[in-house]
Amino acid sequence: MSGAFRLPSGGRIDRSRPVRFTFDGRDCRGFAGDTLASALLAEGRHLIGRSFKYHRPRGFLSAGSDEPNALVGVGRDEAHYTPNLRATQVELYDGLVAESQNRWPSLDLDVGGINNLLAPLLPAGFYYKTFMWPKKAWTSFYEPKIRAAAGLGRSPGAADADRYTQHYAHCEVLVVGGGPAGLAAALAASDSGQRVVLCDEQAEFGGSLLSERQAMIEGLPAAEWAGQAAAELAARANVTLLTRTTAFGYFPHNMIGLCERVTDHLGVADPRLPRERLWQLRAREVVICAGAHERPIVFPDNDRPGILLAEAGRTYVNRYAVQPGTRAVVFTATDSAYRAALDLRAAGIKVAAIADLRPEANGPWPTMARKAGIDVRTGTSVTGTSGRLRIRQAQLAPIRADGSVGTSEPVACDLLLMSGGFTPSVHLFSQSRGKLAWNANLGAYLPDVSVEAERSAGACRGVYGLEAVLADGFAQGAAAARAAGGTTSPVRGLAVKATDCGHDASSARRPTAAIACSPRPSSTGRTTSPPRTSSLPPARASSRSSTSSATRRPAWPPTRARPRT
Amino acid sequence: MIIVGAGGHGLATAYYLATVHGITNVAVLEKGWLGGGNTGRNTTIVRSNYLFDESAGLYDHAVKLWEGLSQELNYNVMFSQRGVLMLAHNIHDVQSFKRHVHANRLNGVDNEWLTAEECRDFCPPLNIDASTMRYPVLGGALQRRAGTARHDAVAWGYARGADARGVDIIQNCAVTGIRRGPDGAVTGVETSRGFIGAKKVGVVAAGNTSVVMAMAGQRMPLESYPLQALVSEPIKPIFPCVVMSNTIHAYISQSDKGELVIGAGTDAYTSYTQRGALHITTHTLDAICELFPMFRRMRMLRNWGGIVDVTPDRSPIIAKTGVSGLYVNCGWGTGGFKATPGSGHVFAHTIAKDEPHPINAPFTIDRFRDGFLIDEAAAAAVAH
Amino acid sequence: MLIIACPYCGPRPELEFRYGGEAHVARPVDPSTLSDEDWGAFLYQRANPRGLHAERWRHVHGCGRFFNALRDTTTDFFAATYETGTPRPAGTPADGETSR
Repeated sequence: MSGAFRLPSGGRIDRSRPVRFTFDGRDCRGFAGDTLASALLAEGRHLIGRSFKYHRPRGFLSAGSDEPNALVGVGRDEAHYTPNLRATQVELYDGLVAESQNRWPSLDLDVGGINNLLAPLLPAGFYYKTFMWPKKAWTSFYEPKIRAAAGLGRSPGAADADRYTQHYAHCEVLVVGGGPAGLAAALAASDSGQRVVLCDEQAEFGGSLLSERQAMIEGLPAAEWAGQAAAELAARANVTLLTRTTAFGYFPHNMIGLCERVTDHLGVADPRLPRERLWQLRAREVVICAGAHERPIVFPDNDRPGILLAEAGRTYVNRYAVQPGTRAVVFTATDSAYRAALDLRAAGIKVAAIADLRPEANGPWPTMARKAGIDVRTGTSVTGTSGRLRIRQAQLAPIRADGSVGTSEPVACDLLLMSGGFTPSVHLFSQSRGKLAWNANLGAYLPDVSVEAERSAGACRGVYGLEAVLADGFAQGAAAARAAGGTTSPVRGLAVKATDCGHDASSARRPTAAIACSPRPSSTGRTTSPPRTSSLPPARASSRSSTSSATRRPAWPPTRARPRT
Repeated sequence: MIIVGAGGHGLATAYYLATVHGITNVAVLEKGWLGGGNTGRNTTIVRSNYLFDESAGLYDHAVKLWEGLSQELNYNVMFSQRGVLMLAHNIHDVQSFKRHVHANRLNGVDNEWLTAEECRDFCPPLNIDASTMRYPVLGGALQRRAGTARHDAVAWGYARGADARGVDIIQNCAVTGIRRGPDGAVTGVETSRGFIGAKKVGVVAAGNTSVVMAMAGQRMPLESYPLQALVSEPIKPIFPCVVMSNTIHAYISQSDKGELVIGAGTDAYTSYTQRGALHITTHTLDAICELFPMFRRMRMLRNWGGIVDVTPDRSPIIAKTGVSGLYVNCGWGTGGFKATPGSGHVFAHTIAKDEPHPINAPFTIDRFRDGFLIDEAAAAAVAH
Repeated sequence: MLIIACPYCGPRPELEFRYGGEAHVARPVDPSTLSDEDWGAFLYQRANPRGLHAERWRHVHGCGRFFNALRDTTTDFFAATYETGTPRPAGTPADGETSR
């Protein structure tokens, strides 16, 4: 058995294959199919790292490649040590050795945390305005101290023992991302008989389908359909499937860089295998199916361990059969977080309250949540949290009609899920030099004008809802095959049984939901971020022509709000 | 006066016009944002170990200004004299670098020859085991006064200093034309935000210099190439200095933030796209991994490109032009950052006095007519 | 890595080619009669446009022949490639214009 917080059944882990590993020297257990993150959560471990500058305790935020906090060093010896890996992406194997970073003497008791208390004295960019006197002290004293404090992980201490190889390859259609849209696109494109490559950064295809509890496709549970679709693709001679493969760069003339991690997930690998393969792939057409990232919500102390994205909470429960907490508060500006709340509830986690920034929420998921007896509070904001190494309590306060915040009420919890809507993942599209356009309805930038021979499908171009995403995947995959000179069969429709969440942020029908941000609590008036100062302070007053106003507001550094780092 | 381009060189020019020459009725025009071009894209290396007397004079002038720059600007540009080590991999390199060492010393520029073992002692991560290397390390030339600086802080510091003295810095303002009077002299510039009159215009537009100068009917001895750089994820201090190898095309240092900062070579063709090809960066990373095999598992965080304007002799042009009132500071190729203070200082002199400072007097446009080239191709960090 | 259409061999990856700089720079017939100004301009001054650029490439790891190309330096897309000795294709925009 592994972990007190492991659910007795369910999930995509292989319970017949227990795995032992160590984290900071402590023996831990998990199952094959776990990530380092899910196995640590199953043991009740949320504190995983310290922030870069203030050494604030940090926990898991996400369950995938968008993880900003859970960076760890992994490797059984110096010749195999890799720093800064995301625990949410590290696949568990027997004998894995992981350690936390940027803390001394230990993760729980970190002396660097003193910086957090000094935060008011350390505004952004303070280092440009000090450490200059006496002149000689910069090289002999200040700089070594700054350098010692910087950096997250540490370099490996010995020459890398592994081998690496390269592949140059061509195909008619490359599909990037193996979620619902990508699987559909690859099925449609490969109907043409042309060479199709489908890559996904995870160990198995399916993407969001792997975290579904109820959705059905063609009469099968969504994850099962994904497995079947992947098997169908694997059986086609003209299809190359690449798992654990990240498309890291879009280069001129439709050259895509792929990094395939071949042996990192194996405890003992065949020495003839390379650790990684670099693919330089030239595709006639590219279909980007990169999905969307859930947005966090900005509120005071939103970085405590135990505060996760709502979809991440869903993934840990449904895919890894892990309870990320026992008593949850859900803070949302979307309907999709209600689905997460119900999934948590089905896994035996008490949902103490759902705080919804929106004045009302009447979609199918909120209705189901109310029916299930969950305390749904619309027009409510989280105004703060407490708890040292893990969240213990959230402050919930009503938002008044004039936008101000009422008296807050503490709600005990050891888990807070948040959802501020979704941002389409347009990175690869932007790298191809495509131009984005703002979509006010979705509150997101979407791919607009293409430069290279590529197209996007599914959530990464703002198409939400399982049925619509699958249909879009088929349509774009077929269109890509035709553009590459092939002929395709008519677009297939799939029987889908799923309750949509609407397209999230837009269901709020409020501009503020685009980047959800809780109003500042008037009751406490507490400032939680270091005071912001421009690195380029305004010059002394002078009476000059109007053009000088441009000088007053430098475009750099940017003035957008930043969380603590 | 108008300065076209608010990168480090343009802002430094404006700063020294104000501080040294008392000229504050200056507008610095920038198409993008402060320091958003090559100033924000380079690998922050500062050194002065160039071969010829003219270059040594120019670059060492800059290093001397770097040494007091934080205090002068009251803004910490984090100039760090950690030493720049240039590796030799074959007999030709050894001969060439030793010649550089001697030439530098004759010019009062510090430079010394290290054996391979001394190189490894100076930079412990360096692999000098010849049996594992295709291009073994035979030794290196070390300039101890050389090092790195915080590139953004240089732009911000000069901007702050110039601004405080009355210089106008106008961002998001692209120059669209250069207006000239009946006598051919400059009368001002057309911009995306309207006409601005000026008697003198200094063009400091780096990769875009040819485009701006063409607005005044001037053809330049320049070609603009893509140059890429990349940084790793931040790690604790491991790399004490700067190491460069022009034979196998790599240079590397570690920033104060902890990132390994790595520079690649130029692409083969001219381009204004500010990006380059993957095979250029993989070539550089292959070299880095051979020199520092413990970094092979490090993961790269960001990769970007800039546009570098290259002259036929790889030395810059800091000079008057054929047009009265028009001055140009360009052609820094892959290595302009190191010269920022010196370049701005002598260019400000050139504009203010309408004649070059003795240090930049050899760096004319006319040298490509008269044949007095300053061929620094061997001292440039990467082949270009 | 660009794909370059050699007029003799067809589309090939950039690694097979070597760049040859600005095209249509004719060597003066009688250099001895040229002024220093004009000779310097022939040797060193280049258009270096932002936009379409007529340039030479050589298929060094293929047929070995020189040819000319029109490439947009703001996008790196080729508008045309054509054999050495033939004039720039009619109807193409001038240097510095964009192809799209």
